[in-house]
Amino acid sequence: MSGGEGGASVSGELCLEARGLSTGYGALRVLWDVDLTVARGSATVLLGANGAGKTTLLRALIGLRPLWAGSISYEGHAIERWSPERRIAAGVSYVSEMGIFGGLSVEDNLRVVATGLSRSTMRGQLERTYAQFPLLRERRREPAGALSGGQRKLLGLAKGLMRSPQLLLMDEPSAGLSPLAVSEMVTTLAQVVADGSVTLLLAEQNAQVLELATTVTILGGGRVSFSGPVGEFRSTADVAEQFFGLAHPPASTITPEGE
Amino acid sequence: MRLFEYALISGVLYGLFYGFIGVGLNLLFGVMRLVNLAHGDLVVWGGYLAYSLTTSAHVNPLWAIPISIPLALVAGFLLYVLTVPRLRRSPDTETSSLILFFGVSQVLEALATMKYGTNQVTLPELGNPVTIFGQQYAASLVASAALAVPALALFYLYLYRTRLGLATRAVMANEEEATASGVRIRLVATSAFMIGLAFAAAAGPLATFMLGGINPTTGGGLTITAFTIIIIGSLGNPAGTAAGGVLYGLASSLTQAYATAWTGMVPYALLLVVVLVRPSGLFGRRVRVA
Repeated sequence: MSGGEGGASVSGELCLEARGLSTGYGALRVLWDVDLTVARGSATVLLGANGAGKTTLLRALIGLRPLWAGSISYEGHAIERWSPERRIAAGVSYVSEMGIFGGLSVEDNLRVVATGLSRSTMRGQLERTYAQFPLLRERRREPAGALSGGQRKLLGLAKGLMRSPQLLLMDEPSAGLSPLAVSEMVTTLAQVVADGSVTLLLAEQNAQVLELATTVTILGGGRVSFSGPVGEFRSTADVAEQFFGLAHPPASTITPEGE
Repeated sequence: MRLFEYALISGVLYGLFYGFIGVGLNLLFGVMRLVNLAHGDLVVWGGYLAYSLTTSAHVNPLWAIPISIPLALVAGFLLYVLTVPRLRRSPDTETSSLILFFGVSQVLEALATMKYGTNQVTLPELGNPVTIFGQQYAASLVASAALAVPALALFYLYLYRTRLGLATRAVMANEEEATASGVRIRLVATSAFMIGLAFAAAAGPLATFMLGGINPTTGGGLTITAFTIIIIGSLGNPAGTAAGGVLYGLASSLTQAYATAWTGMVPYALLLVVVLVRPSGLFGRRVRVA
């Protein structure tokens, strides 16, 4: 999916709007007055190096990390005081970097997300998930910890999609994967984007994920340094430099190898 | 040979009862990392209930089991509401809970002393001894084992056949991941607390038989025994709790038969070996490092 196609949805209505988010751990401040908007139907990629605050931002958005300041609006609701449970019930879903329960079976990993739903809804969602990820059906009785790295990430994604969320927050979908597995993950995520019902916000370090991005936001040192359509990101050498930092010479083109 | 056979069978019967003792603690410690030092005292209070029923109402002491369960559920709910939300806001829940439940344990012991005095109380034997493979075993021993099996089965069904149980296992495995997955943590925690206390109280009447009587300080030793069993058997694993109980029972009864002087120590030696060699317990899938 190219950046040009994404241009239309960026101007669409907002799914998520965060204003002035600040939080941290004890005396350590991690996010500094972060503004973030996610258009409905977009695929926003949150780029940033290790320690930039990407994970903290996602955790704040789902409610795992209390805010020091700021507001979060999701589909018009002020959700910053809601519990994670309530945000999830309202259609926000979060896949952590680990994403799964290693000790539970593959099927239990999927079912646990839906313990609040009716039995028939759960069965329906499980069938839909297995249709989308046939591999998980084959391995449904195995402990999730026995899956390969790429399969775990797929299970995490499937788990995140189990409740048919409107907004999916996913931390590092490509972390720790082989190049082949990264490509598979990007393809799968691109299908989710193409399906159109889920808005994506992905925290990433791998530039290959930009293939499916409509919007890019760059986080560095807990501050947003760029936010805009992926086309603009690609065409602005300065911005690319900001993300790839001093370790790389100013890039005129961004190669998929990333860092 | 007959001594060995006797030690083996009574070890298994005792062990099933010990598994029963471990169930409630497993839920509290496994789900919420609450170090419930009052666990044994709750068991003892279940025993005192049986004693009161027998002495004042002259009914079978086992009636205390169905009566104690609703009482423990209510007490569990109240204790949960009063203590747990505060405990869980503490930066170190385990240590804070250890101190708090030590206090609860002392209160329960003091109340027991006020009502029942410090003397050992006993219950009359349930009936004639039961013959197994030509040797006789106390009716209460056989009854305890026979009641422990459905209790352990219920624990299994709760964890593996109900959706609340699935949510409970998720919280045991990783509470934060469970929160991030939309699991209703408070519902899981409240249920685990209430059910854990109900299991403890229900084991009480049996404990009175198995230990040859109870007094207000019996609870402390029972708590340690229960911790031993759930750590041997791995947290959050019902089959492990049963197996941990049986292993403990066998170790106790075999040393009692062949090396009486060592009886008190061997089970704890077993615990030390398990903790040093396999800290996740014999049946652990690395759910937690105990």
